[in-house]
Amino acid sequence: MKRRIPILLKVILLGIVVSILTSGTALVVSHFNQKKQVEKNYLDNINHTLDAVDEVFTNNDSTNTDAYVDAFDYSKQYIKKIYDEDVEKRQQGENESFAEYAKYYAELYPWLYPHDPHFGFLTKPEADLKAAYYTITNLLNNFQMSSDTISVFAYYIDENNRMVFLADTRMDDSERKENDYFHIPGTYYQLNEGDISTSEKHPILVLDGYQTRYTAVYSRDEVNPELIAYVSIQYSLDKVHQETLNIFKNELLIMGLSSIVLIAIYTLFSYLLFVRNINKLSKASSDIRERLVNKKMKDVVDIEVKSHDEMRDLADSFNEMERAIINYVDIIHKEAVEKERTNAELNVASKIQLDSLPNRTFDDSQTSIRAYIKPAKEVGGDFYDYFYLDDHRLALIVADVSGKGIPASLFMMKGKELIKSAVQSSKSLVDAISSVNKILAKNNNELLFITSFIGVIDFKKNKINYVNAGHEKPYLVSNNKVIKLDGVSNIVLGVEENYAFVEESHEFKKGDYLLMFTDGLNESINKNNEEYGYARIEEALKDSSALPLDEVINRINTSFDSFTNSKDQFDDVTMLLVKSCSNELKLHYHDSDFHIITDAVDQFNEKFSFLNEKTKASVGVILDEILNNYISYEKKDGLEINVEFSLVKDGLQLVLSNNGSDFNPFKNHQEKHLDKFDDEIEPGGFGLTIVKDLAKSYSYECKNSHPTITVVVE
Amino acid sequence: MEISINHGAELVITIKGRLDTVTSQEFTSAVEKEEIKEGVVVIEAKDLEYISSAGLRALLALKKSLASQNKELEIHHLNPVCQEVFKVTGFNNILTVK
Repeated sequence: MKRRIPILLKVILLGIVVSILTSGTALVVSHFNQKKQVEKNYLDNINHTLDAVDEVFTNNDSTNTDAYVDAFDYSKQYIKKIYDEDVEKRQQGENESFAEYAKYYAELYPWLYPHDPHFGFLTKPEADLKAAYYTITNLLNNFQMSSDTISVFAYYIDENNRMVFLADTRMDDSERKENDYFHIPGTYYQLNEGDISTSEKHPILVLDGYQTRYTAVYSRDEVNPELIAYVSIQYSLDKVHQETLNIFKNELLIMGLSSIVLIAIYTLFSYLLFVRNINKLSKASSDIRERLVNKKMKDVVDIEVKSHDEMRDLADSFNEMERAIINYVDIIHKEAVEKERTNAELNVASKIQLDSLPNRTFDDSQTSIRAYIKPAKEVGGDFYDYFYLDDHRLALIVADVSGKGIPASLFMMKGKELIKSAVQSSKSLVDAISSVNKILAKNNNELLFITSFIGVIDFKKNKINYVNAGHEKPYLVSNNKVIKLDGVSNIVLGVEENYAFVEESHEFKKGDYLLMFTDGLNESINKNNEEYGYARIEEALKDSSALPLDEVINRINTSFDSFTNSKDQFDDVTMLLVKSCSNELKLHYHDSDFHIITDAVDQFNEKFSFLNEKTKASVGVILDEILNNYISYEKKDGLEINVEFSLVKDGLQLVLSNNGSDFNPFKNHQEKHLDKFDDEIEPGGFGLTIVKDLAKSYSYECKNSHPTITVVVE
Repeated sequence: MEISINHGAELVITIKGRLDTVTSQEFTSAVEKEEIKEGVVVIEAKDLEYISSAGLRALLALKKSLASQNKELEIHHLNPVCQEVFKVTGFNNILTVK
């Protein structure tokens, strides 16, 4: 990740770069110009001084000129004499010690510097030389003072091109340092080729690495002036360079300081104008969640930008945006709460609706009922119902209200209660349905309607009466035969007030079962837009007579799910299956086979698996005892025994009859009860004692010449 | 009905299912085959669905046979219906019911 550089730092860096570039360039340019100018001025001054020297020696009006020329001449002659005598000693070498100089010096100018510790022994005066020397040095000192130079010195050049020194202003410089060399009169310096450049009026002579400019001093012979000596001004540009450098440094310092102040002001303004406002906006943006959550419009704190510029526009936009967002969040929040509440209510409605339907499973002695309902939405328009009209007539309803959701479900609740009360109270099914239809059709402004299959099974007559009000045709499965109850299709309920409904009927034997369903089943489509259809339902019902109803539902669901293969269910799916159970056992005794007793108990347990274990065990014992009693009494092959079970209000009633002779086993029967063990106990006679004890009631009669025992078990 | 017989300190006869007209004969013949060395015979009846008078006769016969050898017959864990049958017939007085 790249390093984060705050904008303020960038602003500062930019300021520094800009100020270095602008003021630095200006400073450097001005420095070089200044340096050039100073150099020029300096050299001009040197040249002017040399002009002044020339002036002194060529001024015919000046009375001093002769004196100067004479002094030079005298000095030259005097030095020349000493120099010629011992020239080898006089070379001014760099390796010679100061003491050596002192020695020459002492020989030449013993009157000078009596106070100097180095020259303290020099006391002997030579008046003329002293006078000439002072004349020259005074003159040279004047020149030195008029120009900023290192020194002004005089010399002549001998026939061997040696500079032989006559005087040097530095000699009596009281501030001279110990090792500050000066040209000692009488010593020489060997000139080399190129030391002198003569291109200018005052030629340049490089002496020991120092630049000098010189002019010549001639005698005042007008015809043939004699070259007496030269006067050189030794100067150093380093010194002026140093000065300009110092100026440059000062300027740099001032410029640096002013730049810093400038940058500070610039930064401050940048901060005030941009950075501060950007930071405000940035903070507000990053806090937006906090600013928005649970905030009411009145709590909004505007971002204040005082400047009237684009930053202000940006802040205004931001504030506006924030208000807009809060407004929308508020709206969305309200909608979400509303939706949540509606959903919760729908869930409750759905629960109430489902709770209003009877149990999904119902079993009794004559019927077995299984219901399956899968709503597509939270609340749907499908419903089923079943209820007994008396002990052998069962009413069945499967219906589908047009539309979905709350309206459909409200209409459904109304329809369900209407149908139930009408079927319960009317003399015939047609009367019931006609009255329901009338009520629903009146004031049906929403134009909702109900398709419905309403049937009544009579378990005694083994018959079903039904009215199909525009509903899916149900299937009757009888002995593995799949029969579509394909009769009159009446109009749907709730549309035509005075419609005359037609009632039909069909045989409904023991062991038969009926499958009623809503169009959510057969009309569901798969992704190829194909309907599940009747054919697939019929396929699932094949050879299903012996199956428990739960297994039939599983078969249909498996087939349905593999066909639709989709999680999105378009419509409610409702199924109601009702089976007429056979509750009669016909037992045939032969070949002394008592296993018919075991079979009878097994069949009872299978039919009445819904009863509790205690009841089933009691019935088992009673069956065992009475059947054993019948068989033991008659002792004949071909004895036919009929057992009929039925649920009565006291409990389960067993009616056992046979085709034998009239014999009441309860008559004169004595209960047998043992108090203690002894070897004489007779093993028989306990059976009826047990039956009488376990039964809630028992009786015997001979019906149509069939001995019949009736027992009721709690 | 299933019968399993385990020898040990006591002879334990576990009956699963019904002890009725048909199965009591199986019970009697199964028990008769056993050589009973133990002093106590226990009928484990926790899985006994019900017992009818035929079953009681079989138990009485076993009781008589054991009594002649001075052996005890106990019946354990009867369900409520079996308890009722034992009570009404007085079998709880001649067998040790636990």
